[in-house]
Amino acid sequence: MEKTKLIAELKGIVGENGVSTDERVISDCSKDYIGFRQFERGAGKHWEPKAACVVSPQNTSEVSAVLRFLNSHKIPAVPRTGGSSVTLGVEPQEGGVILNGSKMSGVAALNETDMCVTVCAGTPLEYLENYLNKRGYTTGHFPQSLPLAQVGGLLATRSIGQFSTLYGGIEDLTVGLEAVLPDGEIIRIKNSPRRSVGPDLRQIFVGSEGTLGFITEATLKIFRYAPENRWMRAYSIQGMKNGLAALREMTAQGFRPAVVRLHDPIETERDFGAPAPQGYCLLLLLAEGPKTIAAAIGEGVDGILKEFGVVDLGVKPVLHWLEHRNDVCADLDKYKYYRLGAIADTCEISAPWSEIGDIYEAVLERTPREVPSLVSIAGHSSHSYAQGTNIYFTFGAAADKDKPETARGIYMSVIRVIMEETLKRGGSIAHHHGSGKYRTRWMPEEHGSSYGVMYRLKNALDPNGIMNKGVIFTDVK
Amino acid sequence: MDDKGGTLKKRFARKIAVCFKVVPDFVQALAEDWENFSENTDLAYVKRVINCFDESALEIALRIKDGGGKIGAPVFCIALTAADALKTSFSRTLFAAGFDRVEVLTDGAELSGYTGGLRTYGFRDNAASAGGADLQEGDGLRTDTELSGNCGVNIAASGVGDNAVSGGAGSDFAANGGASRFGFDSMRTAEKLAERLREIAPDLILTGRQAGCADSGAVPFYIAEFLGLPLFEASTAAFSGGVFLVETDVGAKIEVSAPCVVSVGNGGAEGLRISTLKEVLATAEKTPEILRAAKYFAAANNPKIKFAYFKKEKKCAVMTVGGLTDLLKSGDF
Ligand SMILES: Cc1cc2nc3c(=O)[nH]c(=O)nc-3n(C[C@H](O)[C@H](O)[C@H](O)COP(=O)(O)OP(=O)(O)OC[C@H]3O[C@@H](n4cnc5c(N)ncnc54)[C@H](O)[C@@H]3O)c2cc1C
Repeated sequence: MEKTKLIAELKGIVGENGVSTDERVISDCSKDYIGFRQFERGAGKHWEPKAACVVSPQNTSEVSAVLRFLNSHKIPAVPRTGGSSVTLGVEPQEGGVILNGSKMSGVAALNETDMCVTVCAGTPLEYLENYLNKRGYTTGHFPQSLPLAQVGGLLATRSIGQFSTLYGGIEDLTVGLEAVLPDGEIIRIKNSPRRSVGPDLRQIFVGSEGTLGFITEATLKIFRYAPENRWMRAYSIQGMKNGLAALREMTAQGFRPAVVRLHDPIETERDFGAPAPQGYCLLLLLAEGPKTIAAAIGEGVDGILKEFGVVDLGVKPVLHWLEHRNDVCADLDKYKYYRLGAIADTCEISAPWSEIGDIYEAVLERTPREVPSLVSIAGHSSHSYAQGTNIYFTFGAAADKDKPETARGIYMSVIRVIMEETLKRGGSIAHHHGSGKYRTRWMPEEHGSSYGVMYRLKNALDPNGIMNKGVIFTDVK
Repeated sequence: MDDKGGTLKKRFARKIAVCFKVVPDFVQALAEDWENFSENTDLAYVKRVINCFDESALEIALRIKDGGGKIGAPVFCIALTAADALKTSFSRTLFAAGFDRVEVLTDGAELSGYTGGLRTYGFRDNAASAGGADLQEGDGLRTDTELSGNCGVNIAASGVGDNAVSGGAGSDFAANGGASRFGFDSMRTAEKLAERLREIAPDLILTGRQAGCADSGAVPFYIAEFLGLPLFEASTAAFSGGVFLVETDVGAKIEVSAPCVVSVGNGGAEGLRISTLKEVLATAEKTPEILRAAKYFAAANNPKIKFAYFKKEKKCAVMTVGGLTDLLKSGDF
C-alpha cells in the first residue's frame, strides 16, 4: 500500500494525533539497546530499518481496528511499549508500522482481596511499583530496566526481576491478560488462582515477543510490601564453581531468598571494588516476606554457606547494590562506551546445575582466544532454581570509532561463542531477554523437535506473518 | 614535521611523569557512610577507579608518546602514585595502555592483597592513595560537587591544627598510628611526590587538576612549588611542530618550555584509552616499582573532614492524555 494512503487510513482509525510520521519519533521508537546499535548510534549512524509511521492507539478497540486493517493489507507491524529491548526486538520492518502501546497506561483496578492489580499495557513498571508501595504492596518484579520497561513488553519478553528466586518471573506473576490477535480479535484470559481446563493460554502470549498478538492489559499478582523485614548479607566465596555449588545446595534444601547473586571474581573487582579477597566471588543475598520467615531463611542459608568456607562481608555490599542496581538506565543514551571506543553489553543464558559451571568456564576461556579485540568478559548468576541457574555474561570489546560498521561483527563473535557453548551443554540460549532478532538463528537448535509446534501456533494465529517478523521464527512457513 | 634529525628530537619531551591517584567511586558510597564518615568507615564495597582528571593526564602523556614514536623521538612514560599499595589490575591497565614504568611510593604497609595474595577487606579507604589532589587544609573550606543527576555530595573540612606536626595529632585521619597519613593532606602528598620527581627529573610532569574526593586542586601547585618549576593549568597538552603547547580551558594555546608541571582538567582527553584483554594479559610479567623508602613518608597530618549526602528524589508518573496538570494536582505519582 502506498505510504500516504496507509497513513490516512490509520489516522482514520486512531485520529490525527495517533499517527506520527516524524522521523525523530520513528527513530526513537525503533531504538533498541543491543550493544552494537548503541555503538553505531554513538557514531551518529541509525542503521535500523525505517518504519512508515508510529501508531499509538488509546485503547483496546483501537488496537483491534488497527491490527484488523494491517492484517487485511498484510502490512508488517512491530509492537512496542517501553522500548528497553536489548535484542533488536523492537526494530521495525522497512516501511512497516510500529504499534506503540505506551499511550495505554494506568492502573485499571487494584483488588486487595484477591491480591492482584490490573494494568494497561503501557503502564511503566516503576510507576506501578511506586503506586503499589504507597498502598503497602509490591509487584515483586524488579528487572534492572525498572525505570524503562512497561507492562506489555515485560509480559511479551518473559522478563524476570532481581527478586525472582522468591517471586518468580513474569510468567509466575501473571494472573490473567487481555490481548488482540493479529486479525483484530480481542481475547481475555480470565483471572484465576489456578485452573485445570486445558493448556495455560496465558503462556502463549507471555514470551511471544509480539509475534502472536498485542497484549493490551494484564492482571498481576501483588504482595505485601515490608522492606523493613529484610534479612541481607554479603559473603565472599572462593571460585565460581564453588559458589555455584553453594547456590545449588541452598536451593536444593528449599531456601528461597528473594535475591541470590553470585558475581565472579572479575565482576567483584571491577564493579564492587573487591571487598572479597582476590580470586573470590561476591555473593549477595536478601530474604524478605514476614520477618520470622526472612530471619529463618537468613539463618538457614548462613549455616549452609559456612560449610562452603565463605567469609561474611556484612550488609553494606547488599545495600550498595540495592541503591545502585538500576543506575545504568540513566546512562544508556550517553554513548559512554562508544566514546571509549568500546562495545559493551550483556548476554544471559541458563542451564542445569550440572552444566552451568562448565559453560561459564568455556565462555571465559574461548572468547579471549576468538575475539581479538575483547576487553573483558565476566559473569554472574542472578536467578536460581532447584534445577539450575542463569549466567549473565558481561562483556566489552574494542571497536574503531571511525568504523562503526564493524561493531556488529565483533559483537556477534562474542554472542556466537556464548550461544555455542550453551547449546553444546544442553543449556538455554536466552534466560530472560528473549530471542529478539539477534538470537533467532539459534532457535532451531534451542527448541529441537518442539520448534515445529511454534510454527503451527504462528501460522494459526498470524497466518499472514505480519507480527514482528524475524523474531523467534527463522522464517514463517 | 620535516625535522627528523636533531632539534626536534632534542626539544621533544623524552621523559614524562604522570601523578595519579586511585580513588573510591564516591558516588557509590552509601548515604549513611557519607553522614558518619570517619577513619573507620568501611568503603570496601565501593569500586575503585583512577581519578578521572588523572586519567586525562595519563592519556595525554600517552598521546605525546605516540606522537614521539611517529617522528622517531622515543618518549618514556612513568605513572607515579603515592599510595599504600596499588591493585594489580590498575598497574596492568597502565602497562597495557603504554606506560613504561609504574611507581608506587609507599612506606611498605601491607601490600600482599594487591600484588597477588589475599588481602583483608574492610580496609581504610582514605589511606589508599594519593597523587591527584586533596582537600586543602583550613577552617570551614566547603566543596559542593554535583556528582550525578540524582545525588549530590557535600564535603566540608574543618580545623586541622598544625599541619607540620608529625603523627597527625588532632587529626581524625591520622589517629591510628598514622595509618591514613596522606588521605587528605595535599601538602604532604605533594612533598613526597616531589621528592621522587626530583630524582626522576622528567621533562614534563602531568597531574590531574583535582581528585574526586575532597578536592582542593592544591597538589599540582605544591609540586611545582617544591620543585621550583612553572605550572600551567590546561585542558590538554601536546607537542606540535616541535613546540610544546598547552591549551587552556578557554582555548588559548600557550607555548611552554620544559621542564614544567601541567595540571589538566578532565575535558581534554576522554579518559585513559582502553586495552584489549590480550594486551592486558601480555603484561603479566610487568610489575610496578614499589618504592618503600621511608624518606618519602614523613607522617602527614590530615584535616578533619565532614561529609554530607543529599539525595534528589526521582518522580515517575504516567503521562495520560488527560494531561500532566491533573496528575500533578492529584499528587498520585
Ligand atoms: C538496562 C537494561 C536492563 C535490563 N534488565 C532486565 C532485567 O533485569 N530483566 C529482564 O527480564 N529484562 C531486562 N532488560 C530487557 C528489557 O527491559 C525487557 O525485555 C523488558 O521486558 C522490555 O519491556 P519494554 O516495555 O521496554 O518492551 P519493548 O522494548 O517495548 O518491547 C520488547 C519486546 O516485546 C514486544 N512487545 C512490547 N509490547 C508489547 C505488547 N503490548 N504486546 C505484544 N508484544 C509487545 C516488542 O515487540 C518486543 O519484541 C533490560 C534492558 C535494559 C536496557
